[in-house]
Amino acid sequence: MKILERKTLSDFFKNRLADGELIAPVRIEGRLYFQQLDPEKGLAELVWPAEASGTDPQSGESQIVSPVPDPLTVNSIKEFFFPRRQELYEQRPDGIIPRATTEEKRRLLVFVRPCDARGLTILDRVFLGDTEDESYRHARQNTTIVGLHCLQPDRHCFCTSLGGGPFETANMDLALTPLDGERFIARGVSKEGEKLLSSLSGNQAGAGERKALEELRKAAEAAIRRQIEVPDRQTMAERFDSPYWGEVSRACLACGICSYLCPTCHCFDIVDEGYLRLRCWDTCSSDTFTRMAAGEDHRKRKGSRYRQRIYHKFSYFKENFDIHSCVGCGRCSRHCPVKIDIVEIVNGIASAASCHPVAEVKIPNKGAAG
Amino acid sequence: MRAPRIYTPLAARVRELRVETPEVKTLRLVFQDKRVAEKFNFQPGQFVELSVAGEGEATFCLASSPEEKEYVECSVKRVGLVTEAIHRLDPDALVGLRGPYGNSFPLQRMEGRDLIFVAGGIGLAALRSMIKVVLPEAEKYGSILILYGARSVEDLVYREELEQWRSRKDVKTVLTVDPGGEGAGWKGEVGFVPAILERLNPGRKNSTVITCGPPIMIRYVLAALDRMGFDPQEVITTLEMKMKCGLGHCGRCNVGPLYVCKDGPVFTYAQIREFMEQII
Repeated sequence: MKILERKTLSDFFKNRLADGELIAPVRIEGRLYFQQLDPEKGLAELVWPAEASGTDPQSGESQIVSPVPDPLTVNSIKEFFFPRRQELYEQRPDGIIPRATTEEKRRLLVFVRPCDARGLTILDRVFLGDTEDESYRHARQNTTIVGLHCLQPDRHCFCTSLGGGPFETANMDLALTPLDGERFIARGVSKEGEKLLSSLSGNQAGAGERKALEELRKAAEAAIRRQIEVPDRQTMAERFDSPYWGEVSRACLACGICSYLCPTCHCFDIVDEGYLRLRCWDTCSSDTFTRMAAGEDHRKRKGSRYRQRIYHKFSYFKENFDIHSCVGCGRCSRHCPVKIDIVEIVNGIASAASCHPVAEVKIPNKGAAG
Repeated sequence: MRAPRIYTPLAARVRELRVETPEVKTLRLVFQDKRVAEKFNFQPGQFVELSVAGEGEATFCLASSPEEKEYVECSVKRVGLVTEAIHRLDPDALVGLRGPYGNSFPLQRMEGRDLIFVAGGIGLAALRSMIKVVLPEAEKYGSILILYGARSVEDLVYREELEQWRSRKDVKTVLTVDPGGEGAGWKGEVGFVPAILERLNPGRKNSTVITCGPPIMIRYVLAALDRMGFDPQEVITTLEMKMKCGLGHCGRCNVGPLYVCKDGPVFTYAQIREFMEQII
């Protein structure tokens, strides 16, 4: 564990920017987004954590208590592993042309929050499972992740009830805790991170700093007041046919922002744009998601589509991969245009009216069309 | 970022585009690369993603026999953009084919058992591959019944083969059309598939039913089989669902904890009973 000066980190980032790619939070129209930095501009666009989690606008002094209500980037880091839009290959009337594989520079992803980093554990289950997606595998292997602990979670955060936490380090190489605007406590998490840390100059953390770290952790964890209570499989199954799903999804615009900003949602479409075949993000809230060409659709109602989102995350994914497909980042609730709140909805399942499915299929007298 | 190669199809040429009905054509495809053709193996019940340049990809079951090594066949009903484009293809046109995906009919487990095939409309395509494997070695199985229905006489697919099956002594082939679809000279049954099935009342002891058709037909066939006391473990169906990747990644065919593309498309009635309302 080392204490790193901002200058040390800044030099390290600059070096990486010179020989590779640097992806970091930048501010666009007042909001933070993960973006690849333009090497021409150096680190000018990079938003440092003290600023992200609060710089007093009058004095310019760094402070831990955040005046910025939204320290989490709008987008998660998902798109750097599973792109929003990816060219797969070209299919022309006279042949199929794969995309050329170009050498890629090593990537450094900096100031990644624990929830976003944990999202990769869930994406790994999908893309590195039975059939490996080599594009995803390559992106995972080609990226160094510098994580950033959260000192000031906001009112939408609920990571602690899903196995995460503001000081968790899963999938990070290096974990940083901002002490103030100028100093960070740094821990090597992976072997790569340890090696990296040993190459950076800084004092070893002393007892005082370790104590400060522990206090910051406790304060951050205590600041997370929201808790999601996921019902057990049986309760979920019993509420499947509840009128609850129609009620809670009535306001939904099916805009899909919850899926697009989610660090774990991974549904996609394969579409043609001219002769180019693309893989593009998609969402189960779309009314065309399951509609077949002939018009058949087993999720015709908005309620059944919203229910799919919840059951996929909190029942099916758990059953298949032993983890919920949610990290508690709160982006879906934070950015929903009609304020649909996933925590409220999940916490309401247990007390929703259960409605058992009709056990028997109604039989007509004459059978049905062949 | 690098493009994932798992979606890159194999190039295949259209060798034949056979008109089955006013809405269905059967596409015979030959892989452009001979080495690919030799390596392409599949089992009855599996499916492919078939693509047309500039139009897109769609999911089709393999309707030919895996023993027919020189080509593969898919039967395509014209219902949307990609299927329209397939119907318009020129002979010798180039298409993309990736797969095979999904599980297959448990043929070995069915040896020695009486087989009851129940199909409706284009649903016969999914069973044809298996029927083509079973018939040449019919002695391995008990009795074989094929019940096939369509809306009208002109909607029956694979008519030549239906005649061949009908002429066999070791296979009972029953054809039916919906009331009003019979036309002059029709010698088969008139009535909906589930009703004809109940009337035929095949024995359930030592029988396995394999069924595919439009969702409404499957629903009533399963209900009829329930009434006739068939063991849901011995009732096998293959499901159609909107799919994109075929690999369990894109999330589209997820129903309950199952992915139709990788856990299916072949399921026993026992497996899907819990999710019936959501699927068909």
